[in-house]
Amino acid sequence: MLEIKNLTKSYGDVVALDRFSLDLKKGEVLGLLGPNGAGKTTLISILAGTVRDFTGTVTFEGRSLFADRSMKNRLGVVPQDMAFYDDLNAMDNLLFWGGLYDVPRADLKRRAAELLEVVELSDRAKEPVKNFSGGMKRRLNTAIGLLHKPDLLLLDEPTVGIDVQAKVSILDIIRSVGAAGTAVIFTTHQLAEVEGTCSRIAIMDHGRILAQGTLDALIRIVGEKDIVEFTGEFAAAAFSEALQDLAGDGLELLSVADGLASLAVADTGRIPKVMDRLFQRKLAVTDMKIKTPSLETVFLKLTGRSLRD
Amino acid sequence: MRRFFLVLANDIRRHLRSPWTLLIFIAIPLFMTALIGIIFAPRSEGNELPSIPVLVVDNDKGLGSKLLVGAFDADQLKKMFQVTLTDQADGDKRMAKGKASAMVVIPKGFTLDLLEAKPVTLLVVKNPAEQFLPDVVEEFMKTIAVMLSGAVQAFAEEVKGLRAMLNLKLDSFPWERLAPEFGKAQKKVVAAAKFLDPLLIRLKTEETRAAGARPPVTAYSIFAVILPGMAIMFLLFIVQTVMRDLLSDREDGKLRRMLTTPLRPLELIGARIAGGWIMGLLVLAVMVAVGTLVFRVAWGPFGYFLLLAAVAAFWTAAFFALFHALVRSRNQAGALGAPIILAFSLFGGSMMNPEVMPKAFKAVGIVTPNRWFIDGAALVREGRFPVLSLVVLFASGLVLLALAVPALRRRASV
Amino acid sequence: MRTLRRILHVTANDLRIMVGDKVFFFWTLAFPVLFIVLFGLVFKAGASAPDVAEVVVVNQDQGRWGAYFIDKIKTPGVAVTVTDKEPEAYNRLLVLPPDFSARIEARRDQALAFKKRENASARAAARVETRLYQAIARTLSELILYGDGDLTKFLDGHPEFRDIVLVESRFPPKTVSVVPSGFDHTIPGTTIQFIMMMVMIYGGISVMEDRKKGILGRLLFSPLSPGGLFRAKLLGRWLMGLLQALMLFAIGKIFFRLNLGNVPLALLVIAVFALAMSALSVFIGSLCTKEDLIIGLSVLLANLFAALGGCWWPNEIVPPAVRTVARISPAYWAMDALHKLTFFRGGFADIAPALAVLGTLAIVLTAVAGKAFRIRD
Repeated sequence: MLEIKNLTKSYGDVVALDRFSLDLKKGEVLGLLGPNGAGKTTLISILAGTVRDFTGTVTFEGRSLFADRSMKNRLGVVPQDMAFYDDLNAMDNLLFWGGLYDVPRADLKRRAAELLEVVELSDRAKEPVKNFSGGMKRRLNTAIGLLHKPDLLLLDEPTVGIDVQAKVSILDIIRSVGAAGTAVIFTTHQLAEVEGTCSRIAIMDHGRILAQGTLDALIRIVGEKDIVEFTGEFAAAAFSEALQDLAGDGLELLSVADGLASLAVADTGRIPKVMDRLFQRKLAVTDMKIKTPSLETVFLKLTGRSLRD
Repeated sequence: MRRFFLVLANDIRRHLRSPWTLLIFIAIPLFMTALIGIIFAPRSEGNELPSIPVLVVDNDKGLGSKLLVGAFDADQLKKMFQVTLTDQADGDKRMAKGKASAMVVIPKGFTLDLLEAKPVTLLVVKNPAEQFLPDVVEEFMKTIAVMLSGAVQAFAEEVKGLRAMLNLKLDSFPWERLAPEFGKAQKKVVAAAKFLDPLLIRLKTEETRAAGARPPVTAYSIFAVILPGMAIMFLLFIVQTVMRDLLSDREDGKLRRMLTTPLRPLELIGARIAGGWIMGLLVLAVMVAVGTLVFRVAWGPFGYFLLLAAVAAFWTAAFFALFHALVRSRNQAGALGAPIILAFSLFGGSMMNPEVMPKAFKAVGIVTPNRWFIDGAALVREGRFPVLSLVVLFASGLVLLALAVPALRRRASV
Repeated sequence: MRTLRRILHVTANDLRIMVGDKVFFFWTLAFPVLFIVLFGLVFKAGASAPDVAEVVVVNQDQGRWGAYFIDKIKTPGVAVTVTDKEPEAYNRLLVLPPDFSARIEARRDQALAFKKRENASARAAARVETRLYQAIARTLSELILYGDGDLTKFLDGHPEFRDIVLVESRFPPKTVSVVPSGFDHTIPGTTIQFIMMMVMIYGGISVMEDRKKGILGRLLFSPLSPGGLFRAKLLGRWLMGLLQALMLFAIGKIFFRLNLGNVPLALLVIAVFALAMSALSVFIGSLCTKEDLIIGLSVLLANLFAALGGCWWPNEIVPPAVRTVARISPAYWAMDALHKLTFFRGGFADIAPALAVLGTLAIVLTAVAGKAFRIRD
């Protein structure tokens, strides 16, 4: 349905997207994970048609997504900003934003009423939006992007700064939109959100996709190894040297710093041996944590940094 | 107290670091003062208006009309009128385009009719788009008309004799009859001289000042008259802008964060009000400095003026403290603040000399700080201590403060 | 067609938000009307330009000439109050001394004290003074006509002064037929000034806020193009200015008998002027990132343009140099065209030069605003 090929975009010397390629099928919900500056918002902005001067192609059902403006009728965008009119009420906001698309007026009213039900704002439909809580505003923000029943929905961190209840409600909407056949791309920092919501997950950094697939497929990338984190009073060099001869045989040193190190181990039965070695070299370990393979460990392995860095 | 000064210093530093708004609000009154001063400054003694463009159409082209046109050429009148002689068609065309303040049309046969003491009418065509200058021309022509009428009547007989001779041909002209006519005229002139030289009735004009009235505006003092009105108007704008922090901090969560520290609400409120007051004083100081250096404004005893400025800035800070305690949001403050300031300025005399305002407007002006500041500044200019302005501004400022502080404390605890 | 529908959709929404604002009517109606009333009253019958100039005559004369002279002063434009003692409060005062009659009858010259309060209207003083000179000229003419006779018997029978030279005044043909009221002068000026203030302040702030909140960016997610969005913003502000002018002119017509001459042409002038101001407002809104800065800049520009353009005071009293500088003000050209329509019953040809200047300015400002129009900070 959506085919992105070799999309490249630079801001001066900074490369925001580097030969980025992606395919998306009808009804597929893609969670796009990446640290700050990975290029997620640039990708959304290019797809939404508000950032130009890029190279590469983006086709939607065989036609360029930017062939003509009418293509935008097939595209729904939920930006990170609460970009709507605070002085208007929820219904008027929906009617205004929906009115910009080629939706018959009567359908628009019906659709707006339906969406207010979906985002649980029906009873506040006539209230000025400026009186809404953050969560209510986020729900309205999402509803605006759905009014014209888009075939492709882009959501840029749609759950930032809201309570759990509102978050669950928005994720439910995303799932149901996908189930109804709309292709969805949504960016987030929250691993838990993509785990339960997306049919496919892509991890990106430095403007490229590092890995993509279902959750299970991604976990396989780290080889189903557990991650062991050591905290203590030791020097990085001494720690590396101590485990040098153990590495390779189902044990991999992922990162090491003074007082903090992490290892990937295929078999947790090897941990006592590691501890023994550290004890022999008089390296003081005060805490040790074992993490089973998860999206977070995949992310750590692929990007070398935590998602919130 | 340390925290009070910390907040105060931080606020002032922030406002001075992004000074564009402040600079514009300081520039506006200075600019307006310059413009109004240039336009309304009396240009010379007894002449408050620019030279008046007058078209004169002489359809007579006789002795009488030449005398009349010559009247505009007298020394004093030369400055007052800028006369252009033209013909009827061109004059009509120019007047239809509003190219002159008035057009004086001297009718055909004007001299002959005068000589026969027949009524003649001078036409003054006035520019309908102008409100003052055409009336000046009309009044001037009416005075000329009276003088001409008097002269014609006084010398009616002699003029009649001359008129009769004018119809005769040159070869049959009775030259010998001229002498007695001139002789009679001479006698009349001599007789008239008793009334005319010196004028039997003259006017001795003097300007007087009512008890307690202010001195008149001169080219030198006009800036001193305008600037205080402008200064208080934009002082209100600036202090409102500065003190809007009281709301924005509440809206964006900074207030809540500040109150999680050992800072007491009263310290915060005090710092904000003091900040408004100090910024107000700073702004007034800049305006006074520019007024003194650029416009050569003489403010009167500087200590008195400084006291008045301090009290006015205090009133303004107290007023906006209460205002921001009562309004709900920044948007509401922005929407209501400007109309209130403009209403104060309109009724209080910042936009128009209160002396010429309708009585009802003047009465409303009493409740505005503008009125008291302008009155006070005028008294200081005369070297007097503005006790009433100071008492009114300070006392009402205290009342506003007494209402504002508890109201702001309530808002801070929400 | 769909593009136009989208542009109108955004424009209508902008207007709706603006009209829904509680203080919108203060800015568009209440405050301008206050201005109109104040300045209209001042120019109509205020102390600075009174219809009738009053003068107090202190008649201490012990003879009959005082009353004779006072009769000569009376005229419809001058209200004479006669008293025998000098009052404390007066604006203009003429003193006829006790020996006024005696000196005339003895043919001895005298100077009458004419006192003017410093702060009273200079125009009214000039009118009274002119009338006094006319009265003196009339009196002297009658005395000259009387000749050498006994002046104590003058008032029993004397040749009357006749106004042989009369002065008639009128306005140029095909212009106004009645004297324009103070409101005819103040309503167009106030309208022009408040169009500038409101369009620039409201229009500028809303462009800036929509940009900051991401609304402009979101609008472009729809099939609306950046050009279409710019046109929609321009159109919204233009209609706002037109709406304000229509309301003020309607109030002027209903309550103040405003006489605009050719109303459709007056609206055309306002339309072109408002377009220039709309472009300026979008430009300011695109340039500034702070609300206070937009307010300050708009107040500065609007007041400067209004003062130079003749919205505050009649341009006739402005020094020629300032009048030349005034041509940089769009308000000057708008006022010039409105004056031609209101006071000279001008047609399209008369206002064409002013329209051309305003039109060019509107095009230039639109191009500049279009270039500066930003979707994001």
